[in-house]
Amino acid sequence: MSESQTPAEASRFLSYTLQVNAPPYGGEAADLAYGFARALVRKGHRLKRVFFYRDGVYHALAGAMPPADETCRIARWSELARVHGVDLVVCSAAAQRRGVWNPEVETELAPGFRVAGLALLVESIIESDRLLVFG
Amino acid sequence: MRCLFVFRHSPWEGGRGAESLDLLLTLAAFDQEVEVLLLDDGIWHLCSGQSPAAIGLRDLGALWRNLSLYGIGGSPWVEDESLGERGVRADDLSIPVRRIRRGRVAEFWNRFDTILGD
Repeated sequence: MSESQTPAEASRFLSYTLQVNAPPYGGEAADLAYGFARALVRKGHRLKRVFFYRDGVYHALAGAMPPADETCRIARWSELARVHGVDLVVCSAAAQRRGVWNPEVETELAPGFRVAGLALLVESIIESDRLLVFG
Repeated sequence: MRCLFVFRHSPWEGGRGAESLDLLLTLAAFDQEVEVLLLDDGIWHLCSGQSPAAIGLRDLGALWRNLSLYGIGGSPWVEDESLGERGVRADDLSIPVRRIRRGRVAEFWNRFDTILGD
């Protein structure tokens, strides 16, 4: 709830958890997830967390450099986190399995992303009004 | 929270099955009321006599046989038509199941607060 909302206004809005299973460059699902997340925060809904699972963990790869005339499908999530404080979490087991994150050495993730276990996803699902799964 | 976990992919799709079961068991560990429904190629998860190691996959059979140990009390639901279309009989599955007709699935989904998929 933003500070400008009255309690009555805030009650009109639901809280959401998004689970993103699709990789950033593997089809439409990841684009839909981003578009939905952006629309939620712009409309004032509460986006509790975006949890990246399965191939979705590739969103956290640091150093993606697509050609200048293409949208960077990783940087736009980082921007959403920076501007709107959205919590971007990648699953530790899925990220480790794919070499996106390694607990043994310091791994750089894309800005705004952090690593946590599946328990955090389940906690988010329980605490949110809605769960949407992409991919 | 009443949660339905729907499996509709075969167990041979890389790490998909293992990651789905990880999520399913985590849900159950949070004391949520979780039920499992197998549709389409998801029914192959319960077919006996497979050798997942031969194609580099983890054997998930023990997890399926012991779901109750992880807090998933009821037997999985399996769609009749998904079995029939693949020539599989419920008696041939590795664990007891509850059966549901395709025409009832949409109504069945309405019993749950949250639906997750594999």
